[in-house]
Amino acid sequence: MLKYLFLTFYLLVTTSIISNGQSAWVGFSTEYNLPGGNLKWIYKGAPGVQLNYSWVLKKNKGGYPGYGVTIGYIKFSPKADTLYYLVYLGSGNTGYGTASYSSRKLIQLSSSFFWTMPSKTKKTELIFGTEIGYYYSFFNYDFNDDLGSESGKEIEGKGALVPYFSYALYPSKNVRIAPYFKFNLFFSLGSNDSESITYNPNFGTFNYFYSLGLNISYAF
Amino acid sequence: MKRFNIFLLSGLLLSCSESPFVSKDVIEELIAFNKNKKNPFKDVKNVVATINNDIYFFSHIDSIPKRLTNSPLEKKTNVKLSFDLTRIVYLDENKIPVIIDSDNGQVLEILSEYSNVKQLGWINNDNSIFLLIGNSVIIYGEAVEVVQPEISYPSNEVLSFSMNDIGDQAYYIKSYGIYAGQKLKFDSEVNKIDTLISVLPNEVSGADYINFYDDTGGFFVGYNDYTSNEIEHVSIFNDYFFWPFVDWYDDFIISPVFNSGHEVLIYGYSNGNYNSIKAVYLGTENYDKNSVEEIKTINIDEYLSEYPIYVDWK
Repeated sequence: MLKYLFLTFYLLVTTSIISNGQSAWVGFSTEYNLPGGNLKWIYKGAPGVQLNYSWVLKKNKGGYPGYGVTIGYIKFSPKADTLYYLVYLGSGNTGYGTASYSSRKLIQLSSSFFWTMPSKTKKTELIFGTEIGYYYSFFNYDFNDDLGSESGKEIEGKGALVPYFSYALYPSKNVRIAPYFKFNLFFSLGSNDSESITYNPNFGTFNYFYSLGLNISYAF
Repeated sequence: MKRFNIFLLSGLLLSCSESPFVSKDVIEELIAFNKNKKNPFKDVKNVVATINNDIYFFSHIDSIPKRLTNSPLEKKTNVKLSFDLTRIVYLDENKIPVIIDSDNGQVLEILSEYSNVKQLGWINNDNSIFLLIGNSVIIYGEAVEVVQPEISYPSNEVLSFSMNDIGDQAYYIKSYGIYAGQKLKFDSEVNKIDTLISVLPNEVSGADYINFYDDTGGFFVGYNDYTSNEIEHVSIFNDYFFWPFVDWYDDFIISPVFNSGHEVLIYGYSNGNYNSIKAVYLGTENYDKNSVEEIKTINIDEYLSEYPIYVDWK
């Protein structure tokens, strides 16, 4: 159920921005993504690209809010073709298993809410925001050990929560260059109720990674 | 999928700790560890052997041996390594004991006053050597009290004698006439035995060779093949009161040595065409997923000998 709420929310925000737009920015980001937690066990850092469209609601001296939408793509490659793990076989015996993962691709759809604080010269800005989104995740896996083997494919839409901050420079009135840092948390949606239609065996699991990027936007 | 989810969940719980994945080096160490764990011969060390009439020292049964002597034309038999691993005594072609350094093969002593030695061994914390010559036992080195074999008839012959450091002594007598056969006399300070056991148990009587394998009272006896006069069957006892816990048969068993700590029997093997060192695991632990009944053997084929191989190991 939560999955559908996220999707609905995303569509509502997108529609709202487009219909009420006054002064908008369209931008392109390139970033480097560093896996954390259990994602780091398997994958190495990966580049990513994003397209974004943002909208500043009202400009005040002290700061002003904004909204935006983003679509992005990341491809995490595994650290090695084969990973190894230990398997307890009972009676004091330990064996080992091998695991192999395909590249993990993420298609990112998200809406952002941010607050912009301009400097006194108004040539730079600090931006704090949060993205709420939906990440489509694709990868294959294969396990083999003395207890058996297992192969599978995960194709799953996950919820995402991405706090971030950015420092924006304005070389000209219509051009903004903004290096940024994001913390990407994405998690399985659904229910752990095996009898529910939204049952998701992965429910409760999450991953995260960090993004360091540079956004270049144009105002029109 | 269930196992994958468990894996994921364990990842979630451990997301702030270490990865479940390990390096290939760890796996290689594990493979080596498991291989050793499944190898009953992994701790068979300090093996000495006569190969083509020279004495070799194997620091490990799988290792490349060090050649200690270089006199292949001089026959050498009955090799014995001292318990402190520093000296080796063997019999030369005249059955005279020769003591050499186990590190470089240097001759330390030639006991030329003793010849035609039939059996010998280190005793008394390596301070003495017992020598069976004819029907008598002689102690070389520090004095050790020994009960001389009792010979009832001049035609009787002491076939084999052995003793340990806890007061056990035993020997086989070959007798003729109406009571013909090999009879065992077993004296033990530990078990207060002083018995001529020509009738009990059957497994012990009729053998030709006895050797105490450690200082706990354990011993084994060997039965000769009547035509070759070499041992073809070994019975191993934990002590005098128990029937053999294991029997082992082979074509020709020369100078068998059993180590109870590792439950491995090593001997010079011959199939009539060549001689080699053979090691046999006689324990009851499962190795390499095989059944308890399956006895493991290895034959050291890299070092064959034209002449019978005599071995010892500690």
